[in-house]
Amino acid sequence: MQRESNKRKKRVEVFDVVNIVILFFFTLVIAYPLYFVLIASVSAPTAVNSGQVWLWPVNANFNGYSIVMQSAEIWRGYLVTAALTVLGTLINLALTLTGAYALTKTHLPGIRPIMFLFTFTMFFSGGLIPTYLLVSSLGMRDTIWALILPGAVSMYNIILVRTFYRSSIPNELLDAAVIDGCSEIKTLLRVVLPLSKPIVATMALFYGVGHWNQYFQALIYIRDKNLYTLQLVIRNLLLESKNLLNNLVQAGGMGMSQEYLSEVSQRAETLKYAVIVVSTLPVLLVYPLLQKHLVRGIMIGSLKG
Amino acid sequence: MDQQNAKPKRSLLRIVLRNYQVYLLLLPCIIYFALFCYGPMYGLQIAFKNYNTGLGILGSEWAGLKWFQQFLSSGVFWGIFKNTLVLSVYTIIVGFPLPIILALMLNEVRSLRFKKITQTISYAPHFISTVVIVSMITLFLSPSSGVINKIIEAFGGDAVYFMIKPKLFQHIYAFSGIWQHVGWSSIIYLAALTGIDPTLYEAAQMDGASRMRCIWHINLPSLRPVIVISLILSAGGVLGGDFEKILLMQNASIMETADVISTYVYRLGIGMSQFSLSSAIGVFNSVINFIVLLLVNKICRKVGDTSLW
Amino acid sequence: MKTRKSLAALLACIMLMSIFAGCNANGESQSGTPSEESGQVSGVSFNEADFPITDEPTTLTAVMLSQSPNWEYNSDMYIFKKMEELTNVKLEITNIPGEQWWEQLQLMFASNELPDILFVGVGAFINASDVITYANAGQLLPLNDLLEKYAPTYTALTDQYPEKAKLYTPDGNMYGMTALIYPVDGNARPFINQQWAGDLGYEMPETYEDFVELLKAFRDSDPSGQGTIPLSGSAGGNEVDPFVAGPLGMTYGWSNKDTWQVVDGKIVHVTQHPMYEQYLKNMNELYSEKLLDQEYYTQSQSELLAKGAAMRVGAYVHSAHFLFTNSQDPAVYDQYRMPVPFTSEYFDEIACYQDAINPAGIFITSACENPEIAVRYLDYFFTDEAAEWMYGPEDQGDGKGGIEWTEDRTVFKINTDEDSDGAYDYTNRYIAPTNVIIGNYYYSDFSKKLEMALGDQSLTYNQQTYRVPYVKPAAPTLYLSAAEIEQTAMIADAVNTYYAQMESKIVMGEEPLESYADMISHLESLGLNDLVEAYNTAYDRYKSNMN
Repeated sequence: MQRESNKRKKRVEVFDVVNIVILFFFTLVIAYPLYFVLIASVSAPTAVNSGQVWLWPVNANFNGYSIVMQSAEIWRGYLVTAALTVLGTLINLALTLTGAYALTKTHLPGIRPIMFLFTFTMFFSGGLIPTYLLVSSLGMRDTIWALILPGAVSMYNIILVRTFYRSSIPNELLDAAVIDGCSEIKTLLRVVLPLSKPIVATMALFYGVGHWNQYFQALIYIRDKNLYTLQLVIRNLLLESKNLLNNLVQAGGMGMSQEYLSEVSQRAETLKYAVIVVSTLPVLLVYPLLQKHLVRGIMIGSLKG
Repeated sequence: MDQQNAKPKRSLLRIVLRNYQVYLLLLPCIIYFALFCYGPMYGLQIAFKNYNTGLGILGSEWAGLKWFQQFLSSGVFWGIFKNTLVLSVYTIIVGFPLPIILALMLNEVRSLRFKKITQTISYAPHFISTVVIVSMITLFLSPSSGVINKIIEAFGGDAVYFMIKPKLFQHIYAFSGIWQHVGWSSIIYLAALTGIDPTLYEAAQMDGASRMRCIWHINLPSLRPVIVISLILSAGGVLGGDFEKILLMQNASIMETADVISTYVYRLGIGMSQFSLSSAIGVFNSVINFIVLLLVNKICRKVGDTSLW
Repeated sequence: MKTRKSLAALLACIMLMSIFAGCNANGESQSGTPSEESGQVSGVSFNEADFPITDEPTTLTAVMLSQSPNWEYNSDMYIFKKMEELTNVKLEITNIPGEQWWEQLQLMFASNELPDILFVGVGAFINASDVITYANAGQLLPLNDLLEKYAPTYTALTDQYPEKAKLYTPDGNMYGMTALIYPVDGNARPFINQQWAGDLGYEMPETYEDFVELLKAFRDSDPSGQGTIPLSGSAGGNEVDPFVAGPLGMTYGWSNKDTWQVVDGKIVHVTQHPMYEQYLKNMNELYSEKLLDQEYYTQSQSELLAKGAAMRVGAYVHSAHFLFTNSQDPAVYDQYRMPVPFTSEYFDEIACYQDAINPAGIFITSACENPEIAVRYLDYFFTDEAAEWMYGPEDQGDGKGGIEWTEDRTVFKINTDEDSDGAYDYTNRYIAPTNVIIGNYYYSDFSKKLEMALGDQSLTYNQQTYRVPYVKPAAPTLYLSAAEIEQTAMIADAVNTYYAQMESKIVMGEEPLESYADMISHLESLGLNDLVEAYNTAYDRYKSNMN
């Protein structure tokens, strides 16, 4: 008996070791460019761009960060994006979780065709111009709704949630709920959702991150500086000097414009990496917080009971 | 005869009314898709008209299939089509299995701390903007000062000018994409893996199964629905690709493999205001994607039992 | 069966619905006919010659491209206040940041939500094809008569230059005003390190052959001590064609050779230029002998400037030497000097190319009910008085900046406030949108009294001494008609993509020089000849507009 259990233990160990070693190297490879961003954010831009920076910072300085900290636009962008992320994600979840549940009922009339119609929109869309006209006519321009409502539901996500419902929620549970006299809505709220924590957490993450990174809709619909999302503010800062160059070049290049150009392009280069760190950090911290909902063990007790 | 036809109608209505809550739950989505997706759909007409901004979409005159004829008969279009296809298929083949493998491996790790750290690091690149990713790629692959070439030279080789070789573009694109997204893509698989009933493992261990066997017989099957759905959806994006990344990576020398439909459409659309032409190409693109999706979905339904609808 | 039938029915319904839904979509209002420009004054009084332009205060809406988040152009700026006092016209300005510009521009026209006046920036950030397309749609107003009647200053200025022809579109109308008439300064700005040349015993080269010798010396002697790069650049603004294509007789602009060249009075594509094969040979030689930066085709401008700041580069093209070396110290940047345009064994003219007129940057749209008022208003920007206003008021000593004169009031400089990064930033924040409309700003008599910073003085000296004496007219800017664009857009894209690709490959040695013949025949199979024909038609129109 003893020898048997020892053998089992050993086999488990080797597998674990190999697993961890591979994962470790994998992590190193992934981590290096991240490390690079970190050291580049405190190095002199010319050193970074000439390839001198690869293991240590060169000409270390915190200029990038100090400019970021002092920039009112960036802080405003943070606020807008944070509000957008929270509000947007709540709306997304409300729509997705309910819609996906309804779409699992393929035996009901109209469900299959509706599924097809929804999926159809993943491929065919009227394009930018009509959507812009629609948003405009609904009076949503320069409001936060223009950033939330178009694209409020991703069919891709609905499909994922629906798949999860179908494969992870046993039919016996649903039947039991019906027998207990639960209506569909009650079943969804009391039975399905509590068991769906992993997928809900995942969707919150997907949608949340989508909102955090979003800039195209702001680019199209927002002209009010106070409503710029973080990503838009950042892009304005980073690409500013590129556009400026072309324009100033044409401006007959009198000395005054050259001097300004030099300031601006320097600033953009200094900021480039610091800005990534500042805008990415919050998101990186969110996942560990959500992770406990993605841990196994949720199903224990549900079937046995 | 009459009665038979009448009955289904009445019971149809009755079924709907009896299950009204399901339809109620679906209503917000229906409103959304009707308003924001189908509402603007009339814009598809641009592809079939001589779009004139002064007259508007409706006022512009019809052009039939003129734009489709124009690009389909052009010498360059098929090359671009091929590039797009090759790039996507290659990315899928190389990039699809890795997040699954990563999820499986991470799932086996006992130490919560190690798991958390590895996961956080692995999905961090997903958030870095494309502009910066491409700058980093260019820096790392630089023939004179890039890290990769420094390593090659340390091993006695000659520096390679990666970014100008058309043949290398697909590899660089695919592997940098994997680097950036593998961690993030593995999240959905990890979520599915957490839903596995632990009693299954206990039973397997009592039967003497090794770790690898457990993975093969328990984990993978439980992932199957998610894998299949993801595969179908990826197939539906086969004529897509990360537009911004490709645009930034393009340089004159590699256009023969790096020019894809989306960048071509962008050049013609924004660059030359050819709205109708670029819209037509977009429609063509979507049609192909959709057909592929339907095909793959049908195949998956025949082979297994998972499909989109 | 049931599903398929209901599916088909549903689909049909949706398709029909969406077509009808379009009918109800708001905002799709038609622009109708463009407002007539024959002096109809719809209810507002209009003064044809004196000021104020109208008796009642009038507001015109404008959209301006704002290249910096700090520049929020508004009617409180100094110039606009002065203009309002004079003309009784106020400008209500909407700023669109550079980052959002292209999409917002197209959407403005697509949704027909247009301002009275559209300013696309001094760099004319609008495609030539856009101008044709929107003029066709009736959304841009033709300005010929209006300018003739109501814009005397502007017309007088632009009439001095035959290149004014580039403002005409194929239908014989002018749809925009140029935002910029600038003094000829030589356009392209090549620089060579004269100090290294001198140390190595060389004179500044005047021919291409001498230039190559100098580059070889740079390569072999490594004057920078860090691995000197004799000649460097990057695609998209820092090409080396002034050094290489110019001496072969090809016309070039800022840094790149022109895609369309004039040979024997006809337009040809640059690949058909008699000297193009020689160009490939020369570039290939430069690249393979490591005289040209091996990363020329992929490095970004930031990487190029990093090399510049490290003082590793012998020759380059860039907007200013002090920018390239990132230095305010004359001892550093004055090591570089502009050469005169080179000649070679194939071409003995000393020439660089420039026009004094930029493509149209100011448009009046169909939304404007009183275009004559707008035209008179804009015309005043081109006067000397407006030019003076654009420099701003005198410094009141309150920390807000302003003009400061020397004792004898012959020279002035511009003081800025704390927030501004130099005079240009200051001007665009508070005084005048010189990034958008310039008028007479740069060459009125008043501007001559401006004291420039040292670096700019050096730059100007270089330009005036080594480039300006040799300026010849630039290659003509050609507009194709809407129909021509439609037929040739795809061909143009295919031709230019392919030629750029083959050129870079031949230069880098990935393809042999002999591929040139195949390249030409492939280009012809793509439709090059049709394209050339279209451009020649455009050129004939241009020539007839010049008269």
